[in-house]
Amino acid sequence: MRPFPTQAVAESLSKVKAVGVIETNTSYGGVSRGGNIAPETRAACYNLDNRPIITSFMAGLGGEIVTLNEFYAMARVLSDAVKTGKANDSYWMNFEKEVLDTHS
Amino acid sequence: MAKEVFYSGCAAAAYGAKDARVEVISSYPIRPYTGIMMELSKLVANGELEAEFVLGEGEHAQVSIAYGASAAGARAYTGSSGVGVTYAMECYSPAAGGRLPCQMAIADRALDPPGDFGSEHTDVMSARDQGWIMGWAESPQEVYDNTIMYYRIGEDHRVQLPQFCCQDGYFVSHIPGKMQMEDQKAVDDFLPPYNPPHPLNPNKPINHGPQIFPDQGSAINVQRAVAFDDVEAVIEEIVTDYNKAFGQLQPLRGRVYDGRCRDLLLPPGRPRQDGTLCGEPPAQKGC
Repeated sequence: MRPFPTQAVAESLSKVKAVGVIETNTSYGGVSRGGNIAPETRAACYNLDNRPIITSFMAGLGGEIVTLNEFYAMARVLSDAVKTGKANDSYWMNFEKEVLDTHS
Repeated sequence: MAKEVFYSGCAAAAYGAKDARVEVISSYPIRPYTGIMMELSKLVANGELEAEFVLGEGEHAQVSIAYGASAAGARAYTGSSGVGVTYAMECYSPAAGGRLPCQMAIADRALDPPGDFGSEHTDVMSARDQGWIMGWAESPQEVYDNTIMYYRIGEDHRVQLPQFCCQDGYFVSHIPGKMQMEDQKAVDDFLPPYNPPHPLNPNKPINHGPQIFPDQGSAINVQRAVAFDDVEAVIEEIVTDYNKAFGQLQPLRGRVYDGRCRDLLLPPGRPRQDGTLCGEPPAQKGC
């Protein structure tokens, strides 16, 4: 995180369409209403010509186990994001209907 | 009656806290915020403010006292600057996670190093992720107004969060400015007594902050995050109410940006006032 690998992150993410940042930290009331890493990742990509969709997946908070099903759900959200061209700034895993629906 | 006074940011915070009728004050000295506690201790000693004035043995104790008092149902006030703000770091999450709307006045000061007495926001910005509402005043008037408004915002049952009520050290905290102090009765009408939904009470015992297991933790995090969903709307409502009660004192969404600008600087706190005073940038400076 410090120093944030700004150039390396921008270069590698310039090749993908959607990025999910799994956050095990919170920034209450922060810019994405999620964690801290996705906003920094977004900032690193700001000057790219083709910015990927970047979202926070809030998972494993409080020490909770991140399950295989949750990883599948995150992957599903990302592949939907590539199709529709949009995603929320953050998803609180296990607490949002949109995410829960993808479990079934 | 409202009256016009000439106060520093420190005095403005103290009189804001007095008019908010704070009930418990926890204090420990560090420049430059100390001026707030000097004013408040005089007000308490002179009988102008009825409040418990508690000396903490450090900032960690100060914030613990404040959120403990808040848990017991008191309107609690504390404050600090610079390294004092970071020394209390452990206590910010319990206050926010416990949804205890105490208020902490911050007069920003640079951390060590540089160890000078300069004003820099890194002190309280280090605590920005802990779940406290935070904002900066640019003048003694805004310090006074924010002190009163933040209590109503934080204590609102849709919010229930503690607040960092920030001002730049020295540039705001120690430079007096003309400001309007409101009539006590009018402030009482604007800010009703603190009415917590679940105060500690020996006659009706409840548990605050019990030990839980990891699979129960994320729900509490989510609740604290969701609390922030309503805060902007509550702020808008309460600032509008404040302006209705006391005249148009507070800009709801800043006063610089009115759609005419092509480029915009976004300074928080004191530099905003300096920049506003500069007015139109002179063309010969290449602006």
